Amino acid sequence: MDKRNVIFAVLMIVVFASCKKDTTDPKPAEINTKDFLVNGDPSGGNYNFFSFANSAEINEADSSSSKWDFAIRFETFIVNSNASGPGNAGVQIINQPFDAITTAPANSYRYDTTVSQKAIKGADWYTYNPTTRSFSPIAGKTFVFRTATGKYAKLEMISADPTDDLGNLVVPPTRPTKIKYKIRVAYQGDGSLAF
Amino acid sequence: MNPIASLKIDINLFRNDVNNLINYIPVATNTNGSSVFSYINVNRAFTQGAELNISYKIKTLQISGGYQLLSTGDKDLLEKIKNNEVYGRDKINGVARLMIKSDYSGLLNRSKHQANLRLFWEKDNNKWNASLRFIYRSRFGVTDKDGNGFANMKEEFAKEMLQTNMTIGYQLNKSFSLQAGVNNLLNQINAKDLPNIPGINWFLGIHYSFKK
Repeated sequence: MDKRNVIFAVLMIVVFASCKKDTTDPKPAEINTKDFLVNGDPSGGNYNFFSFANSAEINEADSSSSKWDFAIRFETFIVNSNASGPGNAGVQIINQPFDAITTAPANSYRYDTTVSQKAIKGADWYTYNPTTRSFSPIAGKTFVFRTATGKYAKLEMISADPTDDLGNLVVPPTRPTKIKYKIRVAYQGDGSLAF
Repeated sequence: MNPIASLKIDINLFRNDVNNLINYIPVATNTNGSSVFSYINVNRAFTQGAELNISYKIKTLQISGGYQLLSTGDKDLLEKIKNNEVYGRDKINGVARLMIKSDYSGLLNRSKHQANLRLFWEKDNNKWNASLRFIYRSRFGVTDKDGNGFANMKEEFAKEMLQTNMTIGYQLNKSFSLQAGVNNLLNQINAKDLPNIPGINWFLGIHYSFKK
């Protein structure tokens, strides 16, 4: 009988402990894996804009709003703040795998100070071999964003492939017109730093 | 005849430390699917390994075989792996994880194991001869898809290769000899990574020598 009571008491503690946890735990961030097809012209043309809140591409017509968080053209990133947009976005690249980052840093976010001084430099997140012309995102680098509206998100570049306008892979000598990025994103919409 | 007298064993160990090693790697793909090769520089590299060659003769049959175990590497990259700075994926679009030393496969385009075996047979006072030859190389890295500078996932390697060659020859007289044979009998082809090795290839030949 005594043994049973002890077990019951232990069970109650577990139940209380888990109840308490439920009320304080922030809503877990939503994780999505997406293909993001962007303009593959290195010399110019439009950027493709992405919103973490929508987990989707945003129309270029909204490029002067806070609806987007970052945009890519070829391999160039811009983030929506300061020199690049009206938002409050910032970004930093952390040398840890996506899953290992459970909390976004509270500060040290970088932004585009001028058109030529971008927050993200190419060598920070990919390797380009000029001999093989191979372009590969570096495994184990995670982008942590403060979004245009002050929420937090993280992003992993999984792969980058040269494609045609429809997103079909192309190999030389066909010139790619787009780059298809496979990205994994997690968005914390409640404003907390926890993923 | 003493059988030991006809046995020859040759063992060779080597280690090379190379600054600015020039490595030969595939850089582009032709429209027919084969690769175009060029050279890249490796700042601080090493190659080390062991070679074993054995030849043995029993009556009219000569057997010779060779094996090489090779280990290569980029020292700067190995240091980064040691400092837990290098990640990689186990498959395309897979999850990134920390690479450890045993994930490192060495410089691109180098096989860890290479071996060859040759059987050569002569009869009737060297009038007839025949040979059978096997050449093997284990898988080797050809590309880097996860940005860490070496081959670690299956898709970054070219598969192993075994070539089998056979010939038969006949000495007609002092000057003329005939030969027939086949190269790559098992028709192992890897047009993309080994464009220098064609598929199955039959040949006939007649040789004339000016010796007196």
